[in-house]
Amino acid sequence: MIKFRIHGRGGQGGVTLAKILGFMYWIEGKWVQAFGDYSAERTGAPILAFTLVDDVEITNRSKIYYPDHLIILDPTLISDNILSGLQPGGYLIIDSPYPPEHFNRFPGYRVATINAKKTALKYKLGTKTTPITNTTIAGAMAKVFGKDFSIVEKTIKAINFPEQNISAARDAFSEVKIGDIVPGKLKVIDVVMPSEPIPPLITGNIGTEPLLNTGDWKSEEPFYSEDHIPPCNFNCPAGNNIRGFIEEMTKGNYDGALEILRETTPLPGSTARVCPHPCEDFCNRKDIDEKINIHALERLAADKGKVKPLKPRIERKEKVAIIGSGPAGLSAAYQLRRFGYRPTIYESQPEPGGMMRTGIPAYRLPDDVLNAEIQYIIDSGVEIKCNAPIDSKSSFERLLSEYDAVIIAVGLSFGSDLKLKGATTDNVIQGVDFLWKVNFGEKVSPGLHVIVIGGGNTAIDASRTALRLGAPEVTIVYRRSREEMPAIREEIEAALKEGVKLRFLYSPVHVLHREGKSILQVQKMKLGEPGEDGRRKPIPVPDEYDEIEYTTLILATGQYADLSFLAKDIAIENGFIKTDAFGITSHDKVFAVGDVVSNDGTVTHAVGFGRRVADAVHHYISGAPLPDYAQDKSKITTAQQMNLYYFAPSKRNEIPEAPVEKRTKNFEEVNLGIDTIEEALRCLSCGVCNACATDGISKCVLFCPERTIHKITSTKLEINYEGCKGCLICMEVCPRNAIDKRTIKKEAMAQ
Amino acid sequence: MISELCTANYAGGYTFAICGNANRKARGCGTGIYPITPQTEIVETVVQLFDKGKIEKGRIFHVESEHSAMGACIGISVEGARSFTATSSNGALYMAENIVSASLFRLPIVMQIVNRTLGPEWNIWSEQGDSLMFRDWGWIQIYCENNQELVDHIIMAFYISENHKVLLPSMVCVDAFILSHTMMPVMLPTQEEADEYLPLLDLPHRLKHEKPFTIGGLALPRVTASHRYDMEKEIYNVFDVYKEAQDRFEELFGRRPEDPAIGHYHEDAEIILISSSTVSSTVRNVVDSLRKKGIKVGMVKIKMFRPFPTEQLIKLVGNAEKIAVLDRNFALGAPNKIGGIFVQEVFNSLWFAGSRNLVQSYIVGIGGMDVTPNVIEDIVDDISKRKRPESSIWKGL
Repeated sequence: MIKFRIHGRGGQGGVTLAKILGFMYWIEGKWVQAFGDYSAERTGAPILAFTLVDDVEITNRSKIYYPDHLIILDPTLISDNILSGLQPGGYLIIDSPYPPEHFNRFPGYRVATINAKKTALKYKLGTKTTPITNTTIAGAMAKVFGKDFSIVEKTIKAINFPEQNISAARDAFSEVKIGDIVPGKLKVIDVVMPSEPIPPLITGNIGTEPLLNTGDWKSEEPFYSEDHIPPCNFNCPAGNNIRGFIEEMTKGNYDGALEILRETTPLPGSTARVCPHPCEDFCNRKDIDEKINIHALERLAADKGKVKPLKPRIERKEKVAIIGSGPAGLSAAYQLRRFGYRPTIYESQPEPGGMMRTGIPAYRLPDDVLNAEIQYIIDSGVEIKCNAPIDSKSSFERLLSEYDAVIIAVGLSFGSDLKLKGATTDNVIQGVDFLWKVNFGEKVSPGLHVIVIGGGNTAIDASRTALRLGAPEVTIVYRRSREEMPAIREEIEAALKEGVKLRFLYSPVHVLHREGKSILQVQKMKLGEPGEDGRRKPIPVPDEYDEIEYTTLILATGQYADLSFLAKDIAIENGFIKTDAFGITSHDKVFAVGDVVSNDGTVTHAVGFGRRVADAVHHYISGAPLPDYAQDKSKITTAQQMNLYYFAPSKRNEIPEAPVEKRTKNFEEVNLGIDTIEEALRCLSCGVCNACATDGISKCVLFCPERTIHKITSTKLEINYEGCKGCLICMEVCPRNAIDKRTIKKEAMAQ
Repeated sequence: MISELCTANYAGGYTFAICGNANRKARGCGTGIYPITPQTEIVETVVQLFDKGKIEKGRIFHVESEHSAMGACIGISVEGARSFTATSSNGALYMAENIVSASLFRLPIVMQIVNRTLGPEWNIWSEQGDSLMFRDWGWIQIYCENNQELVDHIIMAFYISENHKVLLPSMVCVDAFILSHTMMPVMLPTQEEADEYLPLLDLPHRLKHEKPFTIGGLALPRVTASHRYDMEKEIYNVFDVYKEAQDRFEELFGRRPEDPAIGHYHEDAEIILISSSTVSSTVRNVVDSLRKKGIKVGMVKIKMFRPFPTEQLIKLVGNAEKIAVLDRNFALGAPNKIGGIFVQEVFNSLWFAGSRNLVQSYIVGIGGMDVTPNVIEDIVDDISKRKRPESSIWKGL
């Protein structure tokens, strides 16, 4: 009896090869038996197949332990154990590009090699990753065992395989390289039957499948992505790691959450209260129920977390001056401090904070919150000089000569005058001036009828402030519709709730004085084509006018900066300082940041810009490279890429508000904050693996058919690539698009 | 017959199709099919041959479960068409209700069972527990040793099951992978040969719309008892009809399929090994080699398990001093901890005949463990030294 044992991997056609060999001998009139040793039925798993040949009927129905010859379809399977039971002088027929001499580690046996994968691919048998080599090998076998090629041809025809199999077999028949007996001492590897004890079912590991080392078989493999961007992170003007801090919140780790926030912003408590939170607008959770209340969580982290003041690892001696202690200036100072500088801020006002102090009313941003955040910056090593205006060319020149770099962060502190005909100074005031007076405690009596002109946040703040000062009737006049109002949506709603009236599509024309009363004449408008900023332009409707009586008229139609103190060589365009995204001006020592450059109008944008300008200054002083903040938009995880059906619906935790009748009588904070991490648990962690910590068992662990994924911490998983067969089911089932695939470059064929 | 090199699965599927088509001049044939490893190739073969037009009058029902597969077969059969299907392991368990219905309806359905270990834990390899679960409900059971026996016994099963003296379904069983996926030379029947061998199916109780009646409705206790007793009497008619089928086979094809129980070197044996299915082939191998060494060992292969060939067994065993029974199956909690299902029948047979041979039970190949010549030699060694029997001995752990 001749006994062949075939070593291959599931999917390679090894069992079929056993049958083809059987056919070859059966056609010659022998009795044959061909069968596979079926293990787990998986692509890539090592498999055995056998062909027995005899002159008489074969009646042994057990497997073959002492083969005469081996056929090795995958050289990565070669180990000393492969010789187990092989009879001396037997052939090892190996699919390999190397000559037989290459395999001189098998003394006492003979080696024949054939580059069957190449030949099979030449005839388009199988795919590049899984060439099917059985007929090719059969051709080589016929040569090795001294058969006529016609036998192979007859066999392939008998089993109805396509013509190109014959061509591949013919090539192999002529190309196979047959070696002599490898010299040296015969290496006999005895058959070892498994004898390790089997753990009992109940106390043992129920149902654990054997780890199959099929890792080297795959052409692709999954990995936990590190560059998928959650949409909230992408859309944060400050560049905050929102997903990251919420992750810490899910664990109730307020300090950790605040620490993550503080990497990008020194003002989380302020932005949590005043940012229009564009992050929430892009939250994927809205495709399930309601978006995450990110600003409420930021506020919770900022209010409850505790982080020690900065202690930079190195102290730098270079001096940086910053003009203006608004959010841009504070952020720039804070980030410079992180680099080790000790910047000095020059502030013209008696208290630091810029527009956060002078413009934003206390019912939105209480003084104690702002004070605490500024104190943190001061405690970290930033010096703030108040009542220190830099408002003349000489004072600016002095800074330039004393400091290594100067950052201009003066904001837009002057209201634009509408120059309304008939307006008198006694009852017309700029919105910024009105808010400044109230914030610094000056007595302001707006009277019975207040009109606010404008649609931005200053207009809303002024109107709500006027209400709180006792004005029974406050009307906002805006020349476009509510759609186009640049003010924060929630703020508009709060103003309406408090009783502020909105008159849309009216533009002020001039002021009349009749019977001792001031009357604003307004003209009806309609919306035309969108302008450069995308908002539809108002067009006057001829002959349609209305009149509104007022006791105070507040103008909130835009702001500007007084830049007369600047040196001439600093480029200015349309009243704004010209810089690049990092705040680098035309003067190499001068940098500019915030609204005076970009007119973004939010604290959050200013914080983000402040970080970039700090990078630029550091780059200028130390030569460190500028970081690349450009984010690849295609890496944002969308709801469509996620498997949202895993997530149970839940209600958004809204921030409770103080009751209207109570809050409009004072400047107490309106939004009261939440005190629960439940909202953090609603976060889907888009694109970032959290081991499904917030929604049950890790889906990749659950679905991996090879059980190669394991938890290493409560929120981190690891793939055992030796067992991973690259099926990518984990990637498909991942609820949050946290898994990517990569192609594996096959190394040169192992020996 | 035509010579082919093929797996048991292909051989089974082919033979089903040919035998089914042999009924085309009567009411044709049909099958309900559902795949399960390692049986799938059988039903795939049937479908391929059907698509090639090898089944001229018939229908294949691709159903959603094994339960429905047998349900379809019952419907086909009760309409008077020739019906067959195949399943394995847990598929048979899911089919269980209708497996019992088929025999209680007295329908001559033929089913190939590929013997696979019942899960959990999940195991695709060979063990006989799946078909033996159905030993008590009137199915004829044949355990095949090689692919040729499978072919021969599918042909014979239609002949026997459809005989009016029997009218009971048949299971023709092969070991998972050891036969189902193993290629060996086989003689397959041509269509003409099957046509000649098999009479057209004439089911006496087939449903006719011109004369409607109900089968399987409510029955009072004595009615059911009487029907069961009829089955009990008639299942033993299988032995006579089996002989008829053998004779006819030999007459037409020039080969005589073996008896329900067969001996080898049994006449003068001191030790007899009793086995079934593919284990018998390996046992024969070992018996031959031990005889060459002068050891007086013989064997008896039990091919038919239901009805159990008691008389033949008694004759074959004769006066052998010691009997080793090899079971690739196990009944938990059996008397004296002797759980082999075949060995229990052997005990019953020998005790009733007054025989007092030493019988030792060996459990082999559970969960698809390989039964090698070594294992069998160990058993011969063990029983030759043995003075008295003990509980089942598990080999290979």
